[in-house]
Amino acid sequence: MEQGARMRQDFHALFDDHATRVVRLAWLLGADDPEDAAQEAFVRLYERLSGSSTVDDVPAYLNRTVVNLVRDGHRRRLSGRKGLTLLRDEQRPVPSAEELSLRAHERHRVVDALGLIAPRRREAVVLRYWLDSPYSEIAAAMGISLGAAKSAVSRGLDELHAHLEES
Amino acid sequence: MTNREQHTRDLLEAAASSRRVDTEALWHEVQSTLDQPSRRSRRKPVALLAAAAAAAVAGAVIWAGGFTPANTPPASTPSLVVTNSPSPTETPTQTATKSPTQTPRTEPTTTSANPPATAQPPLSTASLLTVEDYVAAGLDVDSVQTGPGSGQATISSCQDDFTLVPRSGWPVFGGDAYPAGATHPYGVGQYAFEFETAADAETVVNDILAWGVGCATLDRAGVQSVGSEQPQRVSLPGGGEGWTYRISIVQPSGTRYTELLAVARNDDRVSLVVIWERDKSSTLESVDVTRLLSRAFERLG
Repeated sequence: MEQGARMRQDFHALFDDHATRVVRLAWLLGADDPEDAAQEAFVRLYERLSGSSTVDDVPAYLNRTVVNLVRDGHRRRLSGRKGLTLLRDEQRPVPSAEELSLRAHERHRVVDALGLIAPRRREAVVLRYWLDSPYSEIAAAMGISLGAAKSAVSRGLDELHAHLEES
Repeated sequence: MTNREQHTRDLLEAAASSRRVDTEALWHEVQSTLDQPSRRSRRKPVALLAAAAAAAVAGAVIWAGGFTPANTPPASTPSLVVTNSPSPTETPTQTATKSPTQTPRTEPTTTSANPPATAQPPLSTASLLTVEDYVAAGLDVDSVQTGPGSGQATISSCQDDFTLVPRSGWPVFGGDAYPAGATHPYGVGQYAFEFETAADAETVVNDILAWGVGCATLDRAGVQSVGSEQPQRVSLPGGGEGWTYRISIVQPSGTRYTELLAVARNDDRVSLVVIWERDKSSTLESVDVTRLLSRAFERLG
């Protein structure tokens, strides 16, 4: 088999192992389009693997990439706030059927609560309690110190539960 | 680990595992990105549509001629539910029983009901319905917000379980219409899509027509039952064709949402209007769907 085809095949196996988790991570982190974030993460991984770089820990690499991609998305949203979406939200007279349906849904209650906490704390909580990442990995994925990671997890957890109790 | 931490873990796991992921479609996207010289992310708006438009539902069966909850088939009704949603090129007269494990599957057809496209103006917000269009169709809409991108999420929560293929839609414009006053809870959302080919557009129409059936196969908390009418084809002036059907969703609280879907295709373009109403369906009953679809069809260019 040609080397390129074999590499693609191996990459497909790797993709299968991680794709669902990566999309869900992006979703829990609040990505506008989790599949798009996941796609970009896998493309970057492939480019890295097919270049001269090595990736020692594929899951950690993917997690880090998704965290950064979602964070970049948040930044873009904040910097472009005068858009149509905000206008719609302000002017919408009644919730859509979907919104009301989803509110009744426990899973969305959690996701809604996640959406109310600061993005960095949200990252910390998801990495810690959904991915079971050790603090050292959380710190690496978020680009912060170990102490800051512990603090973000702790405060994020407090915030999350405060919002869950309110809802 | 404390109880609170464990509880957090359980909640996150429950939430995450409820998020469906179509890894096959995603792999497709990754591959096509890798195969492009620039290797840039190229996912296009049909994903927005998938994320923005199909309904939240669990454990119901869809019967012809009205909304009927699961497990209570009318004795005289010969099992409707569409396993293959009617193609835009055929009249939906067939009825068939749907097994709970079946997934609605539509095959792209290569025929086109519309004449080949001539020089169309580019898709824009002008491709969306206006206040006058809605009023002409019997809705007391008094304002419309439109713009590039998707409109507000229009139907309910099972929509994120459906992937519309092929994802060649580009660009998309969306609009939300607002009722005059706030006397009764209903809302309107619209999308206009353009695809690479008429066959792609036709496939997407078929997907949309299968949403009602697909929703019924989902096991979702927060939704007690769902029902759907069989899609009906509507002949439009100018040789256009549209389709319409309604989905009904009942929440455990007893709250019912009725959602009317109206879709028109003009060659490689698709217009989708979703109107939802809570508890009652009087607004939906008064909608002149043919007029609504005619206007939507005309605006597609």
